[in-house]
Amino acid sequence: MKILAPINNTNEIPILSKAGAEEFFCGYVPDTWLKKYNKCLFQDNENRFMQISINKRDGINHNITDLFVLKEIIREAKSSNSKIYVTLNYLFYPEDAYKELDDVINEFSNLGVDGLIVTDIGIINFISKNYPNITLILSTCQSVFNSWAINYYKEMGIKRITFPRHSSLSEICDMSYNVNDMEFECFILDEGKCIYDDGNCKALHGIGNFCLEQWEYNHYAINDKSLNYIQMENLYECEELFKRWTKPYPTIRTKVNGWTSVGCAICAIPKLMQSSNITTLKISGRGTSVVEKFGLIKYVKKAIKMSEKGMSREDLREYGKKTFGIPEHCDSKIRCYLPIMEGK
Amino acid sequence: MELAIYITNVTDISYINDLFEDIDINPELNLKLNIAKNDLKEYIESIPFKRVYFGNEFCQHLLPDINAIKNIFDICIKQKLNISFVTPLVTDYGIKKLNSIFEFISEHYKNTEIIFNDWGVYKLLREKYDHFEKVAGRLIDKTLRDPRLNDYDYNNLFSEDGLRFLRKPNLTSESYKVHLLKLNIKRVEFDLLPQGFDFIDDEVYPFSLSIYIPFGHVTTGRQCMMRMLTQKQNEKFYLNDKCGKECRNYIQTMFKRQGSFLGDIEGVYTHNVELFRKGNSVFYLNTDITKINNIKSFNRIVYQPLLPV
Repeated sequence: MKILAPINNTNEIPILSKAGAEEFFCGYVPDTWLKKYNKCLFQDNENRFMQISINKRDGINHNITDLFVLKEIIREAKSSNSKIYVTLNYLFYPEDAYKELDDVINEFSNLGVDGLIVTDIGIINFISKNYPNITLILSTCQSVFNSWAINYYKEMGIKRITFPRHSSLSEICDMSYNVNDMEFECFILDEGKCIYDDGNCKALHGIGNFCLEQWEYNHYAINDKSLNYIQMENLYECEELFKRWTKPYPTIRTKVNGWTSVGCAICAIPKLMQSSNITTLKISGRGTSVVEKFGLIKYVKKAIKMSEKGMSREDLREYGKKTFGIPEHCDSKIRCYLPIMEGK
Repeated sequence: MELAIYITNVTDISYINDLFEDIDINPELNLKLNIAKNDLKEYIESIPFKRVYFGNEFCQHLLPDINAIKNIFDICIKQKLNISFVTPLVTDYGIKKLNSIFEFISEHYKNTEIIFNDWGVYKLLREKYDHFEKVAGRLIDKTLRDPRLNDYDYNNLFSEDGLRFLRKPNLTSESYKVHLLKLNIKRVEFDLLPQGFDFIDDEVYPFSLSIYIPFGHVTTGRQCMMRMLTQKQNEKFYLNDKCGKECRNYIQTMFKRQGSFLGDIEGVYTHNVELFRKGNSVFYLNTDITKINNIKSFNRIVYQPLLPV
């Protein structure tokens, strides 16, 4: 099983390869796109965000903006026999954007990227027709929840599908067994979990994550005058859990055992390994530092080795608890972003 | 132009007989929802009422049973109203449920139009029930929208090209249109976007478009705050095939005072943002139908008297 890891610059490749990554992905935003679709850049304390990115990441720092750097990354990846994929997975592209898109895809093709990670059906069709040699990987943003959808994308020329973050382990495994001639990748570690589905959250990330927004809530009972005490308590409890899922620590920068909050599914590896079609475990986090990425890749690599040696899900769970601390987050499934059904 | 009414629950059947029946779901919410209804009344009354949408787009647990379908569809036939059956994103479990429903509809209500919101459901229809008219539902459209921004922000925050990008769906792309035509899809559906639309009919030719009013979705997902109410402790986030359908009992409102994203410009922009969570989805309310005034391709209005979950 291969590990697919995010990179932001050339220097990261040898370091992250050493930790165990064999495939890499990155985003590239050309200057023409940046200037045409972005009047100003939103800014928080540390990062600048685009209003309209070319891929699903709005952070400037999460993308490469210099073509020379991209060329170097591809060269470095090839010299270390690693695969390099580029994200082109904005949720939609209108016709007006195709001129810039064609230019950038042509560039990717000339540079010899190993594949593009895509979402929009129009751009998938465009690349299949005009750049048939480019391998297409379906982004998690197309939310493939059933086997029939897999077959639909197979017909469109997709070679690999990234499962949605919100699928159960049994659903993922069953789908991978049901379809032939398709590779699958599955998120194994997630820098920040979201309660909403990547492909169906239509809010603009650049102005602040919708899932982290603070709201004043009110609950109403339908066809009833007012909520009773128990209804109110239960609703507030669920509301609190919902917030905890996205933000389990007091702040998004809080660290425990040296780690910020990480969504984890390593105890699923023994089961995932039983499907030969699930070839790749993906670590998200284009915004994280190389030190953090290095640690996360090593953690997953060790989990793969433990699974290969026949260690159980419980063993892996203990390893996860020990690594990230606060074992209660494992027990309550707050840390677990790939919900694992007990007994399956 | 035709008007369709969209109901998601058999208990809302009375809206078929009286589109403007007073909304009575909760004393505090009635006022807001009835204001939206009254805002739209004159516009809606001017459009011939020809169709009923029934089903659910947002959750496979809310797919109606055969009796409910029969109940609603028979009323439609009696009143000479066309029928659209609305389907959600589904897992393989949901595909099985839909397969049985399609089999029933295929046998008894052959002329039903199916609104799909999952390409897997499209594939199922094409392979096994190709005689149905297939419509790309509003979840298929991935155009971003954000009700946290008001008109001032939309007009001042984005570059001209950036705002145009947000106002043009991917249906304007030749590549997507060619694909849809190959799939024999003739109608594509949209929410009434807060930022509005910026395209002319030629750009979406030859497609017919539907627009849903007054509720548009901001976000959805499989994790559901209201489903958690009936899940066991420590299993709140499990994605299994069980659901107590508590979303039928509650609505949550989400409120904030939102300043401009451009910074503090006194008096210009601080506005109230109020959203509605029902089940696994969050909705905004938008009654500004002037945003589609010049686009004739929008030839079907899908009116939702209630939140569509």
